[in-house]
Parts: sequence; structure tokens; C-alpha cells
Amino acid sequence: MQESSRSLFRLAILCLLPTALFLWLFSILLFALFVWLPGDITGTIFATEGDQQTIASIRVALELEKPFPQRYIAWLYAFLQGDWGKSELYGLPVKTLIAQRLPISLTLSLTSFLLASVLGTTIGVWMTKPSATSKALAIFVQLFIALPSFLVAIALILVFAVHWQLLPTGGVSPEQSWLSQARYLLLPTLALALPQIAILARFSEAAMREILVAPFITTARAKGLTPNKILIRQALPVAAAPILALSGMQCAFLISGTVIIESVFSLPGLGSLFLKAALARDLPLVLALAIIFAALTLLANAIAEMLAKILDPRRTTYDEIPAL
Amino acid sequence: MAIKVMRKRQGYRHKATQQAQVAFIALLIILASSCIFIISPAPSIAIAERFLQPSSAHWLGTDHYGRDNLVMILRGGFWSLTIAFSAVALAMLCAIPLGLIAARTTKVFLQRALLNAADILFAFPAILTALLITALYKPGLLAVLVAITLLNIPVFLRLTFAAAKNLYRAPFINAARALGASDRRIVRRHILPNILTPLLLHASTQVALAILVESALAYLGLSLPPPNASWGVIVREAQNFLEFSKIPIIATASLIFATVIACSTIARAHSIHK
Repeated sequence: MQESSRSLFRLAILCLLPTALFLWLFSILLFALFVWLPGDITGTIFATEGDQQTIASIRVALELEKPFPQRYIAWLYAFLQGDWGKSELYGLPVKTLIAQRLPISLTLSLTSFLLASVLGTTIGVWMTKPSATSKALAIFVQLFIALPSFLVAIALILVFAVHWQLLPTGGVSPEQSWLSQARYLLLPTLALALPQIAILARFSEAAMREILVAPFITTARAKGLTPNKILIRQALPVAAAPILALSGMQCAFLISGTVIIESVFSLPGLGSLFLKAALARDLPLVLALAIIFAALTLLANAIAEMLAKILDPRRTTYDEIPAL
Repeated sequence: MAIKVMRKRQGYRHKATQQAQVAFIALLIILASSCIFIISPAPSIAIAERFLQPSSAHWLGTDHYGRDNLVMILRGGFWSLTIAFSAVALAMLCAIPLGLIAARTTKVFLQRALLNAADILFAFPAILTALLITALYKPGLLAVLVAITLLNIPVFLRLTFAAAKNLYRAPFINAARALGASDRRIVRRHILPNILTPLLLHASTQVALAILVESALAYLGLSLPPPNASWGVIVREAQNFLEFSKIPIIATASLIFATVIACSTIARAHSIHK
């Protein structure tokens, strides 16, 4: 028992250390770009007037004249303690803004991730059995792989909200009830999940097909196991590892997908916040959000790889992934 | 019965090749027409002729500014396709040498470093990069190009690494080395020609992906602004006028769909053809 727990620890460190290292380097790079861009806060304070002396003294007072390493360490110290600066666009502290918008984005992402993982794998496994439904599913998968997510979202809005008037077109529900909130989030979750379902389905099908030609499947069939049993109990556990790894990579798609979906459905989440901040060049907000998004993406990947390695210890990180 | 089976297999191979040829020709037609329309002057704004139905003068009707829809969409196609192709080409230019270095080198540290860097870059969504460049510089061509290129570099790096590593183990490479071939000659004459085919196939898939990503970025406003509208921008502007005319969105959607399928069919048909 001690052996396995020690190797688990080693595995965790191996997967998470490059992540942490990269995040740190990434923060340095971002901060450097942020600092060395022409123009800083004094441009906003002294819009038109202000002689050089006052500007210079304000710069010293705001510690803008200190050398780069000092500024970076000061920023890092503040960042790690939770002081993420003040947004120029909204005038509110960055942390407040993020805390306000985190629940929606989190709900959206987690629900669509669960939906996509479960449905995607199921559809993928289903498609390996030749039947009428599997051909229909193949068409469905092809459709959603080749369409960008915002078009899927717009199509969903057109059908469900405009034509049939079943669901709202966007925004958040004004009431507090769980049901009405779910109504408002249903279309966005679907729009976010459908492309992922298609990608996962295709990948799962490819992985399963690769496994189904293995000798041990022939043995299972010779033993007289039913096709369903073979699929689910023999082949699927072997396919689980690469599928899991892909799910981790899908998290990147998820996180960037929230930006698009929240923009289409006008949801007040982190994604739309990032978009507005980037277009308005609100640098403190962009800096904090970029680090958060990068951290979440890399963490999801690292955890997925870790789980995949636990499921299949033979795995290395350089296994191929089938094409579109 | 064996003959029957063989004939069926040949028929399947035929179908796949046919599909790929049709796809390729469709792609060429779209590309050619978009280039022609890009060279001619931009469609004029004629507010009096907004939202016209399809007619002999305007094959797909007009949009909210009175511009001909077909011309706008094909001009958009030029930008979408060019950005996608150039980004993938640029990524290949950067990634192939790095992949070859990683495969050739005996220093494990260098190899690990390159592959880990590729891994981490792999996880980075294009939208994040595009948003960052937008925030730090300005939205537009640079943001989209760099974002999609960065997205593709790790893919091609991994591919060249895997392919080249396999190839370096082959006996004929050893033979070439024994005959006195320099590293550069081996790469140029033996390795590159052999890895080129799978790389190009993956490139067509990546172009398909790049078109999707570029349209998403354009929709968000991070790509070229109008009048150099790419497909995503067309959709975004047409979205406001859905009750007047659904044609721009439907046409753009179909064209994106067709292009992506064409690109991915080329890759898939070849893998079946094998």
C-alpha cells in the first residue's frame, strides 16, 4: 500500500509541476507585456493636463518607477494574497467582479462537461455497432463537428426561442427559483455541449474500433459473450484511458467555448467578462482572468492525464489522437 | 467468394477516392471564386436596396447595407480560407524543424523540454491567445494569425517527432549514415520526403479546424473588422437582422460546413484508401 501511495504522489508531482512552472513563467511574460506597453495609469489620471513634474512625482508615488523585478514581486505577492487590482473598465475590484460571475460560468461549464462526457462516450460506443441508429448518429456527429459553436448556438436560438418560443433567448432569469434558472441555462449548456459530444463520439468510436480488433476480443467472442457485454465490459475499460485524456483536453475547448456561448446568450459570466475586458484593454482584469483561465485549462489537462495514467499505466502522453 | 470480397473492397476504395476528388474540386471552386471577388472592388452600399430577395441581379439577395450577399460571402471566404491556410502553413514552418530536432537529438533534456513545451502549448485554447493579443495590442489579423498558429505548432511538432523518430530507426537511415551522408542530407533526402504525406494530410484536417476557430474569433470581434469581413463577422452582423433576412447566416453556415467537410474528407479518404 505504501508503494502505490508513494507512486501516486510522484505521479501527481510529475503532472502538476510543469503546470505550476508554466503558470509562473506565463505570469512573468504577461506582467512584462503589461508593464512595457506604452502608456500606464498616469495617462488616465492626467488625461490632458499635468506638467512633467507632477506626473513624475505621481509615478514615484504609485511605485511605477521601480525596476521590473521589484514590481513583479510586489504584484505576485499581492496576487497570491488575493489582491488582484482594480478594473479600469468597471471601477470595481477585480476579485469582486470575478466572484460575481464565477457561479454562472462554473455551472455552465460543469453541466456541459458532464453532459458531453456521458453522451459523447455513449454515442461513440453505440456507433460501433452497425445499425440504423448508428448511421443516423454518424450524420448527427458529422454535422456538429463541422459547424462552429456559435452557429450551433444561433441555430438553437432560432429553433427553440424564436420559432417555437419554448425557451428564453438569453440572459439570466430574474427569479431565484432553480427551475427558472435552469430554463435560462438550458440552451447555452446544449450549445456548449453539442460540438463536444460530436468530437468525443467520433474519438470514442475510433478508439473502440481500434480495440475491437485486439486478440482478447476474439477470445471473448469465442467464449460466447454477447456483443453488448463485449463492448461495455471488455473493450470500454481499455478505451477509458485515452477518452479520459481527451476529455481533459476538451476542457480547453470548454473554457474558450464559454467565451463564445456567453457572448451569444448574453450571460454575465467570466467568458463574456474576459471578452469585454480584452476589447476594452482593461489590463488588470485581463491579467487576472488570463491567469485564471490558463490555470484552469492546464489543471484540467494535468488531472485528466493523471487519471488516464492511473487507469492505464502503460500510457505515455504522446499517444496519437485520431483526426477530425 | 473470395473474389466477391475483393471486388467489394476495391469498390469502397474507389468511392473514397471519388469523395476526396469531389471535395478537393469543391474547395478549389470556393477558393477561386473568392479570389476573383476579392480582386474586384468591394460591393457598394446601397441602403435603398436592403434585404432584397434572391433575384437574377443578386443571386442570394442583399444584406442590411444593400450589398450583394453572394459577393460578401465569397469575399469573406477569401479571408477565412487565407487566414486558415497561412496559419497552418506558418505553424508547419515553425514546428517541423523543431520536431526534427527533437527526434534527432540525443540529449534527453532537450527532447523532453521541446515535447513538454508542445504539450503545454497544446492545452492552450486559441481564444485565450487571441484575447490576450487583442488586449495587449489590438484586435485584427495579427491576433487571429498568431492564435491559430500557436494552436497548430504543438500538433505538427508532435507529428513530426513521432514520424521522424520512427524513421530514424529504419535500416536505410543507418545505411545512408554508413555511406557518409551528413545529417542535413539525411533529413533532406530521406526523412522529409517520407514524413511529408502524413503531415500534409494532417494539415488538411488542421485547416478545417482553423476555419472553425477563425470564424469563432471573427464572430467575437477579434479578427479583421468589416469591410474585410470574414465569415464570422458576416454572421455577427447578420444576427442583428434575423427577422429581415436569414439568408446570410444560412449561406455562410452552409459554406463553412461545406469547406470543413471538404478539408476533412480529403484526409479521411486517404486513410481509408490506405
